[in-house]
Amino acid sequence: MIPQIIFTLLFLTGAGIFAFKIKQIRRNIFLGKPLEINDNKAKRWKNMAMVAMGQSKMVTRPVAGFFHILIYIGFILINIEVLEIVIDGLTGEHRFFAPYLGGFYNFLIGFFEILAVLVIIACLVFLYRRNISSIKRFKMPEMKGWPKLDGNLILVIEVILMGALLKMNACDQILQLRGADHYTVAGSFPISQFLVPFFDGFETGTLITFERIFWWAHITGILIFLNYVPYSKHFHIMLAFPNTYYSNLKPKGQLNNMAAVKKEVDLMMGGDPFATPEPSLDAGPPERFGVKDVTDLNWKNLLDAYSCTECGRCTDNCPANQTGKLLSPRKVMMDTRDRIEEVGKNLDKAGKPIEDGISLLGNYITEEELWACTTCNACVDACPINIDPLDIIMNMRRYLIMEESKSPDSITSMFNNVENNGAPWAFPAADRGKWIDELN
Amino acid sequence: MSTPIHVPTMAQMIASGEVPEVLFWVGCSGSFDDRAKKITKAFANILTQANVSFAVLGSEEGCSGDPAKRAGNEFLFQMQAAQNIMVLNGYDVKNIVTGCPHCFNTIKNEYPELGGNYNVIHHTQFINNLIKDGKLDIAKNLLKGRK
Repeated sequence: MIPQIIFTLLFLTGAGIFAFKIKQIRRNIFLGKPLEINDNKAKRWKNMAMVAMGQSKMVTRPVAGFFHILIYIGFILINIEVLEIVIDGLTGEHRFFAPYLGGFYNFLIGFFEILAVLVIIACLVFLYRRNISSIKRFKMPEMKGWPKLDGNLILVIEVILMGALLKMNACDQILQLRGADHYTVAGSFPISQFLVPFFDGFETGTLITFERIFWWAHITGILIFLNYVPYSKHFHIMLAFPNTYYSNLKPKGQLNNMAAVKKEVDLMMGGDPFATPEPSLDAGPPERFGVKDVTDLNWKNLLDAYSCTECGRCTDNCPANQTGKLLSPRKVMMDTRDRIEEVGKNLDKAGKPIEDGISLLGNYITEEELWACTTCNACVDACPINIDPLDIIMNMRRYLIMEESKSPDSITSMFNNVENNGAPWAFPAADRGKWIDELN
Repeated sequence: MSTPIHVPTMAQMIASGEVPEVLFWVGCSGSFDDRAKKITKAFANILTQANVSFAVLGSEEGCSGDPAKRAGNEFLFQMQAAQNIMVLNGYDVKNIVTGCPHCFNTIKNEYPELGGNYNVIHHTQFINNLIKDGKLDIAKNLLKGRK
């Protein structure tokens, strides 16, 4: 009875801390501006099915795509076994599902073992890619320190968890053969049978201890991992699904027209240019044009930031980055997440929103990075879960131009030319037809 | 290559009581940049040889506002858009073929919300349609092996 109580407490604590953190992240995401996304549900479900569940964009890079799918399938299916472990833990049974599934149970356990090995292989390949091979996007400045450690920790934890599962099965099958009390004969062990020689020499009592240690290591490991995920880039395993569902369905080249600006332009072009809008008593302070800090972003931008797993395909495809500019779309997403976490922590400490004198633009992202962007959408296209770094970049530029009138000289002169003679260069409109005279 | 190339402006067309099938939106590069002008001239030639009734805006065409928008100057963009839409709607333009890919995106995707609704296609699509419809006689094998 005591192990069951300990397990129940452990499980509830793990699940409870996790739920608390999820609630906190949800609150942080909705610190962003409201944005209504509820059109075209059929297309959105399809996107989620294809891009998140079907991994359609992962496989554009076959090596990473293949091994990622191994871990992805392994993770989802092995969760069925985790469910059994939880039920065993709560009820004190051993291999709870076995009597109900019969021969299929043996197939499942065997299949999970094969998956576990494939996951271990994939993790080792990824560890090699991250640490030994010279893949440029894993060695960029924003990947130094915690992000690098984070990536490695996830892979190492997964190897340990899968290892515990296999060792647990190895001890279990020996105990089953010896007819040890409580160890019902169930499961097939295509992989862990090779680990049997390492454990076969032990006394039955010692083996039971081993089997229990691996069992507890597996489930505690999973609970720890569960609570590590929301603090980590690995959170994409959950947020990839809503993120693809809510992703932009419009043509990528189409930038939104700011409604506040349209109102002004309509007033100037159409109606009485001297008319002032009706003063409204309940109108708050005028809204900021564009984005200076994370709370100026909309909730989808913040969901993007929490969904990012820092794979770096965006930066790898970015023409600005490729030509040595400072811009890295991945860093934009990482900065956004770091800043919204900071704002959330301030809120927790003070109990109300506070002004800490820090902002996303300026303290995290520099103007030089923003002006390096060509708005080509390569980053948006490359993202395996449809994250949109360009939307954040664009809205910060809007802030720089429309609130602070800050632009590099070349851009200022382009503005002047468009304004004065209707072309980005200093040519008069009268010369537009010159090419016609040069014909024939 | 026999027909001399004639490029009327929208103003001239309307003045003579004609309505062109399609407006050729040249764009700033196509108007001012020497290399891009070659494309403009070649496309005008193709339209002429295929007997397409077309016109340009000439000095009434203005920057679509795209460079301003992408640099963050939404106000300047919307001012440009409003002016262009006023001209286009004034001529009751229905079909637009663009020389410039940036104008293509802006007029097709960003103008409708601001009151400019047109059928917009890129000049490469237009040429493709001409070939498909048999309006442009291209010698067999002319494009073979070329990309």
